Amino acid sequence: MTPEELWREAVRGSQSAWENLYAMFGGKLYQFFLKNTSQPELAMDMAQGVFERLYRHREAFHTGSLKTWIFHIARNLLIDEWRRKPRREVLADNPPEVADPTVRVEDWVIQKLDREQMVKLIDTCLPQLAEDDRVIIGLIYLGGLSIPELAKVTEVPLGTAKTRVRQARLRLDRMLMASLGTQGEREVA
Amino acid sequence: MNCEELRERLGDPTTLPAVETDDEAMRHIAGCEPCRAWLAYEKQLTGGFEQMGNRRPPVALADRIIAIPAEERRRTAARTPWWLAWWRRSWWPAALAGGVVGLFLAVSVSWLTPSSPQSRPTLQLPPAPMALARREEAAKGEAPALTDDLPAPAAKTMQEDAGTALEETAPAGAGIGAPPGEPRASTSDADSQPGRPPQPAVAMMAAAPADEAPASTEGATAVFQVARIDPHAADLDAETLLPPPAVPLSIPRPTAPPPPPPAPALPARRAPLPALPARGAPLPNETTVRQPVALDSARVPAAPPPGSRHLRRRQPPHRAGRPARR
Repeated sequence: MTPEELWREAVRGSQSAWENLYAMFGGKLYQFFLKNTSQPELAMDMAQGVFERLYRHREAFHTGSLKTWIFHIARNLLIDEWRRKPRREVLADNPPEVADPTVRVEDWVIQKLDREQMVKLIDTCLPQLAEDDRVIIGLIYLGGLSIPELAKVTEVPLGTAKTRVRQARLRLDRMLMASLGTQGEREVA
Repeated sequence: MNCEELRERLGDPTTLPAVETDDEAMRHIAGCEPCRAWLAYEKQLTGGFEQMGNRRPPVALADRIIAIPAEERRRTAARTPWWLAWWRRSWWPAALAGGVVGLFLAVSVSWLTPSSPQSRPTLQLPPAPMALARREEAAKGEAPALTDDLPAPAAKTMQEDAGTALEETAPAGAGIGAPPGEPRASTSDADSQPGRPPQPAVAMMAAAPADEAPASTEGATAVFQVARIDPHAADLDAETLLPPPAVPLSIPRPTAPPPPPPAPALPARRAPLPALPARGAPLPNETTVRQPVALDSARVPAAPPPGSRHLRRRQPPHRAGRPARR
């Protein structure tokens, strides 16, 4: 069953369809907010806020992608939260320097990391990215949006969305390499 | 396919599974070692994010989100008045019941309302006032001979449908409007003249004879008299009543004054315009009535003195003739 079909059932009053929608998007939304706020309670509140807005404005959604709509709401909530805070922690805008620029990240990852270590590395590196990069990486990899869907959610042209994804990925890769190098040096030491 | 195109496709996690089923892409990957390493890296990164997203969120979040529809329904029900909620729940039975009641009322009203014109009460013209005056005089015995001249017909007003009492123009003396020789119930009337037959029933108005109708318009005076109603009088039969007079009651209209003379035509240099009545002149059928009009001096602006600059500035002098061409 597609998310849109589940949504129609939920609007008609099906509680099971609503629970399936939560199982489909609840975890991703929570992780998206958690990686962008680093506060579990706030991430829970914001995920709940997304579902509340969904249900309150359930007549507004007719056509299109439900996933795009959900993450559009999530991004707006996140931006509102950032604006509400007068002083927020600005993370590193510049990625850390890589020890050996000639070494490719894919070689390092393939050689040194398995899936679990990769997850830990992402957990470490993602909060250190800039806010815009975090949002884009979160929408693409946690939310599962395609680049055209990202362009709709962020309300930018498709070419701009591609450029932003490429730049965010470049900074993430450098961050991963830097962290992996530090970890590798620690392991060697 | 070159490395740039492949990496662009690999950069979108939604198109990553499709790359592995694309023969052209896989041929390039088989012959390009950096792209093969890049594909492995992308798969591992995407897998890491997927695993991160598949982490189970806190149970409290599930409880809060799953309870949202019930909570929202409860809030909406609390805000909605009971009659609106009832209408939303069962609007069609109420609409059906309303329709049935409306149909019943419509049928009832149409059934009770008389539709045929015969059943409606008919109104007839009252008799001329001159006949009434003559009849009154005859009743007083001053001119008993006039009663013989009076014609027989008398007006009758029947209000059978309304259930009201029968009112009838009753004859005086020998019985105008009554068939000769038909006895009537005698009543003891204090005003009845001695030696005359007792006053029958009720007399409201007398009918005017046909030859008196034009004469009554000359005098332009109307006498309306109402006789007393004898409560003991017997009702007349419908067959004894005569039809109403043929000549309806006519009230003379005052003669209109002659139309005033037309306004004097101004000496015009051009072709004369069609004659229009002068401003303020009465219409042909209109009587000029001049009444003193009290003007409130406080509201009427005082006329400026002749030759004042204000008046001269506002109103340009009127000049007859064609305007000057520019």
